[in-house]
Amino acid sequence: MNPSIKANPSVKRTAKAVYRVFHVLSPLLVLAVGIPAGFLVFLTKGHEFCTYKTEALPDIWLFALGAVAFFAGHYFGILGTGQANKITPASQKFGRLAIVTAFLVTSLILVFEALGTAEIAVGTTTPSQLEPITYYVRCAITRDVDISGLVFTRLLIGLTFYVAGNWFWPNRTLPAAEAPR
Amino acid sequence: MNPALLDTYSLGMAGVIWAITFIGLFVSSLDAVFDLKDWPTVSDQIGDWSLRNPWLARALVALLFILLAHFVLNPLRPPTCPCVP
Repeated sequence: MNPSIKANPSVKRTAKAVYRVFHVLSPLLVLAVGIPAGFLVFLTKGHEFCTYKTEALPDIWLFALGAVAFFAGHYFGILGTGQANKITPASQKFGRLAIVTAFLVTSLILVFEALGTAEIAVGTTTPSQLEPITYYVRCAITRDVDISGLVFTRLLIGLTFYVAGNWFWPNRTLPAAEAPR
Repeated sequence: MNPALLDTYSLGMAGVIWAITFIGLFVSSLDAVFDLKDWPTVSDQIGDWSLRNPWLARALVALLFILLAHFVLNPLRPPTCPCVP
């Protein structure tokens, strides 16, 4: 934990309050991004097949944005350390369920990727075949250039890597329940 | 491509985006509720897992960055479609 936060209770309380406000507002943030993005795609007609231009990609700045968001997620997590919480059997069960679900979804995505890659190897000639996920992602990025000027792509990359930095590189060395209060 | 299928393209894509939004909304709402009740949040639980399994967490992060690099840095060229005869 950052010594300045640990030493000063008022700063610590403020940091925790900021972290809590962020937690409470995060569902609204998700809605503010997801709902308009869906509507923009819905209202954009006349797309015959998924293709992409080469001007928008590769883009080193999108990668840099992911790296910055990852570090931000790690360092912003310092505000939440030392938070008093209670571990119950139900919460432990939920934690295991969340991890199993995450790996299950990842496995399904990789199976889809394998199927898409296999179809390309077989050489199907119809445009309705499954494609590797890369194809859809790159197509979506170039479409987003037209729809929002990459705003949603940047938001999605920023959010994903912020969460990764916050979750998989926690800014503490002790389990949450044992962290200093 | 079948025109009837094309008509559903925008709706289908919007549906996918809204479904992902719903998952994000569900997880972030749970996180907010757990925080307000002083229960271990989703971040706490997954952070604890990362502390117990540092190499798995590093591997997962490496995988995420490899995927991002593959998506945005790979100089792939688009296929020359439409490829229906």
